[in-house]
Amino acid sequence: MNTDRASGQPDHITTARTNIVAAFQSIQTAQRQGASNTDILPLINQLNLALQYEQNATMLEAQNRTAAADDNAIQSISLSNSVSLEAQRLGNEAQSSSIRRSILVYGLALLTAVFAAIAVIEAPTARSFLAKRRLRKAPIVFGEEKNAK
Amino acid sequence: MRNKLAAFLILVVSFAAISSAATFFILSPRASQPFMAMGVYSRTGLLGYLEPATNSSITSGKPVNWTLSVTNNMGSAQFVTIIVRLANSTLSSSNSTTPSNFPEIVTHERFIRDGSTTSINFNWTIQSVTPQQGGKLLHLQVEGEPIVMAGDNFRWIFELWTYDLICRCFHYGYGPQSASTGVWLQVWFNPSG
Repeated sequence: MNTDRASGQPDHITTARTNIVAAFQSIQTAQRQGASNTDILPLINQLNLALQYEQNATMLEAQNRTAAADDNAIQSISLSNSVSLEAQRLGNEAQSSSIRRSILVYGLALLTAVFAAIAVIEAPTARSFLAKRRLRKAPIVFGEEKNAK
Repeated sequence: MRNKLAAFLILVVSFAAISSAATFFILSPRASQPFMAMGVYSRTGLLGYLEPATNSSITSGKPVNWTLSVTNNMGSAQFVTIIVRLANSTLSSSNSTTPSNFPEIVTHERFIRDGSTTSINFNWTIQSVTPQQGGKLLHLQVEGEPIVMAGDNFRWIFELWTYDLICRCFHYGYGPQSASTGVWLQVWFNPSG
């Protein structure tokens, strides 16, 4: 079912429809880039409103109420444009935040690996160091005193 | 000293591989089965049946208010249209791959975010039922528009179509156009005068 309108000259309603689809595409891209469902919710509501304006415009055009149809179509265009811009902003923000998070988490993982390797390699040295310290702190008990008691 | 350095490097590489794999697992989104679903219910209890029945009577002049609920669990927002068709016994219903050929009576377009359910109202009234040869002649008012249908075994068919950004068109069901899964419902009713 093709939703493109056949028209000799692009009118406001055709533009409104094209912009709604473009805004939807921007939302899907933003989601792929990691934008959360909570961030997307107001955009979906605005896009549904834009769709409603576009449908009103189509209905009014069918009734030959061109001025009112144009008003509705322009409202729809304005709404879907703002949704597109906001979705792009959210997508870029989500992407850079996702990259930052990945760098941080993988950096931590690498650091953990280095410390774990140092711990394994230096374990014998640490053990002998601790043994020496324990020996140094231990009280010296002479054999004769021990026997006298 | 050289042996110690080699052992250290081997250990770093091994631990890095293990911790990176664990990090990748933690950061990866959980796998889930994408689906879309549709339901129809009536707040007033006036709903027909999902198969032919003689006691699902809808009286003429009495408005029938139904609510369609559409659920999106596709992992991303969806642009959907619900196509409502009025059917009789002449043609077959929709199935899991092909939509029905009955004429479209109403369409409802809606954007639905992932993991949510939207409700769409569907209001109709039978205005008159005239018995005639081979069934009945129905005059209905559907969302304010007059509709005429003749025949028997009347039913409403609701189909879910989703927008495909590749073809820039709606296609029946959800998922990729080449392998989409059809979603449809039908509710039979017995018109009475």
